[in-house]
Amino acid sequence: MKFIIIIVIVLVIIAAAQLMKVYELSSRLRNKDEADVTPAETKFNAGMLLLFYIALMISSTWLFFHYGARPGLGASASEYGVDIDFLYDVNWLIILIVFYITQSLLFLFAFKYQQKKGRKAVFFAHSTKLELLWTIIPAVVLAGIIIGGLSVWNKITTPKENATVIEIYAQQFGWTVRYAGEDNTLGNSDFKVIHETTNPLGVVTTKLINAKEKAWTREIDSLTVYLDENGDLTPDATVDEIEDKIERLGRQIRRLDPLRKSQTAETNAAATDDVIVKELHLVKGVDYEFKFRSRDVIHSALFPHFRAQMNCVPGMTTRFSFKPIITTAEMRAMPDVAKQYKEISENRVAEGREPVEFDYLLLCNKICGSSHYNMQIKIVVETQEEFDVWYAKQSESKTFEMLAGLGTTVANEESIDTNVAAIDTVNVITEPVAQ
Amino acid sequence: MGAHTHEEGHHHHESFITKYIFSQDHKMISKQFLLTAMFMGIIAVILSVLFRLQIAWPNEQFEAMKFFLGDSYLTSEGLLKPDRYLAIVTIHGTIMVFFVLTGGLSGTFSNLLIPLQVGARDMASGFLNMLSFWLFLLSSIIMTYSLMVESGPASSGWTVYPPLSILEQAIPGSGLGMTLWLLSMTLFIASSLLGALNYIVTIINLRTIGMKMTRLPLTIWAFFVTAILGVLSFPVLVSAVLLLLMDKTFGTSFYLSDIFIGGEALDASGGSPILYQHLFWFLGHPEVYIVLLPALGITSEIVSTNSRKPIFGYRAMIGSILAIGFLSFIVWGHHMFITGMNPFIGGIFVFTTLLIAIPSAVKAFNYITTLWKGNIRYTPAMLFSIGLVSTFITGGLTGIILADATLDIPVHDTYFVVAHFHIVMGLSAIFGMFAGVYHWFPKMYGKMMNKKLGYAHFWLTLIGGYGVFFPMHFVGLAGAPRRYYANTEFAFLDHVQDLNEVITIFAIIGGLAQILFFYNFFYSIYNGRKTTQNPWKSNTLEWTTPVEMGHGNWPGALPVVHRWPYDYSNPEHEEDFVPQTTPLKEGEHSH
Repeated sequence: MKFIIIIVIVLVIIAAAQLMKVYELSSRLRNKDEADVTPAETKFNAGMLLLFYIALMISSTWLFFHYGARPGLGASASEYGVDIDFLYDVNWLIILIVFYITQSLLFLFAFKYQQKKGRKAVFFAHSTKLELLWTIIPAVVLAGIIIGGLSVWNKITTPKENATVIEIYAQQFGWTVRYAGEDNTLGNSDFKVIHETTNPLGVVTTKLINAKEKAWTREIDSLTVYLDENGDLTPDATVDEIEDKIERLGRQIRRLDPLRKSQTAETNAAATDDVIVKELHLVKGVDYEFKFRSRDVIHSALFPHFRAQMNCVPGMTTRFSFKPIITTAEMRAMPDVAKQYKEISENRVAEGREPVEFDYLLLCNKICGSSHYNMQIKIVVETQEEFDVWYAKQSESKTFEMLAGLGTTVANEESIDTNVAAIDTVNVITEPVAQ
Repeated sequence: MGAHTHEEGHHHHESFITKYIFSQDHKMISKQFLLTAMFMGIIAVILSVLFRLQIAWPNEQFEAMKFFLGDSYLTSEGLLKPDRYLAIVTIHGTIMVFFVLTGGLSGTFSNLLIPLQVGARDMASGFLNMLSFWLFLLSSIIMTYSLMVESGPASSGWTVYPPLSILEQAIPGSGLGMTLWLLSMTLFIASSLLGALNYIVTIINLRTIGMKMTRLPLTIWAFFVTAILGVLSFPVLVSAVLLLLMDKTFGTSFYLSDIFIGGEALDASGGSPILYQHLFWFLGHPEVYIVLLPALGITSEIVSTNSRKPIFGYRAMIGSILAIGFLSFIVWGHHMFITGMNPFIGGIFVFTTLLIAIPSAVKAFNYITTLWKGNIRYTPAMLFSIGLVSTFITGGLTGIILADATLDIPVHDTYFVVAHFHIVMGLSAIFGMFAGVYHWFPKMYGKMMNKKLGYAHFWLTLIGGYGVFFPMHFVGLAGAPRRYYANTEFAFLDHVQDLNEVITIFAIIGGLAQILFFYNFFYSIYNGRKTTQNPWKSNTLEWTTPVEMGHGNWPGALPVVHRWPYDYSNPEHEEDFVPQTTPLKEGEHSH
């Protein structure tokens, strides 16, 4: 197949070369100079310039009217997003005016002053007045744009007092949400105590540290015993692997010390009531302060309907605030949104896919790996009553302590240890050994 | 001025190897850069068409994928693998930004034009110049080779942000592919620095008699400031790249901290991925102008020559090049508005970034005024220059939105950004490069390129370019993130899927149109009409050399310069051009 394609391409090139040669010979016979542009060529290109200009104006205008500044996103669902949308409209107006004027001047001058025999161009090399004009006008317009932009920017970035704190945690390729509980304070967290299923966010309490230490120590002991008893019969590679694991566990235990020191009764209490879930529920009209963290690589939390975005960077916490002002139900009821999603659903059904309803979404907007394109979480904006019902249900089973196996339902310290140990032993054994 | 140093050099006999391979003649090196960049450009264009096919029709098989990429890039169903999609996006960006628009553009035209337009026999150091090309070639080969590595080439975007670019557990391309990327870039930067130092020294020291700085063509001013930007910013990229390499291979943690991946807490702590972004964009933003300024310089020259008018506001043009060059160093933070940087610092970057719009506006208006009441000759080079001014304006205007931190929030890292920078630096710079090739082809090869093919190439490229990148703004405004393997997982993006299909069709048209250029280029080298000494009736010094130039450029003494380069249609002269070598008339003032 490849061979045939290559042969065809070669033949086409040879044919084109022959045609070119004929053309060259005939123009040589007519004694044309390739550097000079003939009147016919001038006419053609002038016509094309005019045509392209008209097409550019029409198509750009059509695109603006058809798609608008926020195609398919509807009204802003956050309070300050309304300001952003307004600022967009003002900026687009300025940009479009400048776009139309400058492109018109460019293409129309390029068309109008096409080469004519015998005409000499006007020698016009410099005009301080004109140059000042187009230094000062852009400067003034830009000053306005800067002032408008920065005033909204300051408004958005100034932290709100008494905002409800929510943590949004990113990892390849999903999001986890942590509510701060009654005290509106998130417990401490650290990547060293992360456990895939029981403690995905690495929330830290003294109880957890102690349990971890015990579990890891027990694991070291059992591995050491195993080596003592079966060391001679085990292949060298496996011995190395186990020794490596023992060393790593020891290091992990040593790294727990600074964590333990930074824990206080308050931070322990702050962590205990944290609720960890896989869906983001927000209450209409409440100020939220989102805190973003990442476990592995940089992600970016984009909330397109709220005009909000913030990077999630491993090793640091970033923050962003907004106040939702339209509930999911209200958004679904909006005529343009309803119409749009009806169309989308019809098209999807026609393609043999599931119909869809409008939902707010949080998506990843920083390249993060192979499933970057499908790293999303649903956001539900609802009334306080609806939220309370949902939250109460989550608090029954998804507080940090319950997920980590440290819950108060477990009777005594000993069984907590066993619980964590059991889970952690599983973890340590299935953990892939570093290459 | 330095004329005697090469006096003996240009008479000796040259063998095939010293003439064509290890040449120290700036004209040959310039052709070597151009051909290498063209080869790299073909790869990058093909990759772009392939990933556009994927975005437009994500669930379809394409023979083209199999033909160009081979089975290792495809799943068992014959679809492109998601991580390989990211890989080809990454390599497309890297090749275009660095190999085509930096190495290719500066390497070709700074090399060709600096000695010829300042009146020098060659670059200050022919040997370093040769070394610069060979490092460039080597880095090109390594980058191309990385496409064939089993675990895939670098896949973390052309900006290679850590930790993704460091952690092989995060994406397979961050293994050997990434190491090769880093190696290739280090060589590339070395090449770039050698070139830039040479350009600066040549422009400062080797100007011919009478060639004052204020008589330099704007091309040379643009190359001069570009070279200075390169010398100041590329070393920062080297350090960023070396630290990345150390994190990757020696276990340091400059950019790594608090990472839990593959079920394991890594030992790294105390580093910051944001540090890399600061270092990268400290180069990255000047890099935009390293790409753009040479194209603008070329355009200044071509617009003036073909309008038969002096460039309007020569000194303002120099001033704006200098202003853009200076400002480009204090705006890098606008790439990082949403990394969680201090909002106050964000505000400062908004201010400095929008300041750049002022010198840019001056340039755009000066081009337009140069056309006014001209006598415009539509050569393919002139058309590409007009196209450049158009895209420079269009792309520059959407920059106003991205420079404004508030407006940047919803469109940061979406297709809006992709549309913006592809128009303002992609299309503009490539148009500048095409304009340069059409205009100076007679100087490079002593032949003319075919005009009719040039017209077809220009119109298809302009239509293709606008057709791809203008609608793309709306895909971004709809909230579509860049570097998504498919938009199918988000219902709200269904709204712009038809735009994505239109964009891909234009991309195919634009891509195929380049065949006309390549065909014209190679055909004309062998079969083109012979050129005359000064085919465009231009004023600058390169057109005073004979058509068949040896090493040393001018057979006799070096030309002496008496006037500025833009005396077109000067009413005091009969002809509509007055070469720089023409002495001033009695009572005539130099501009």
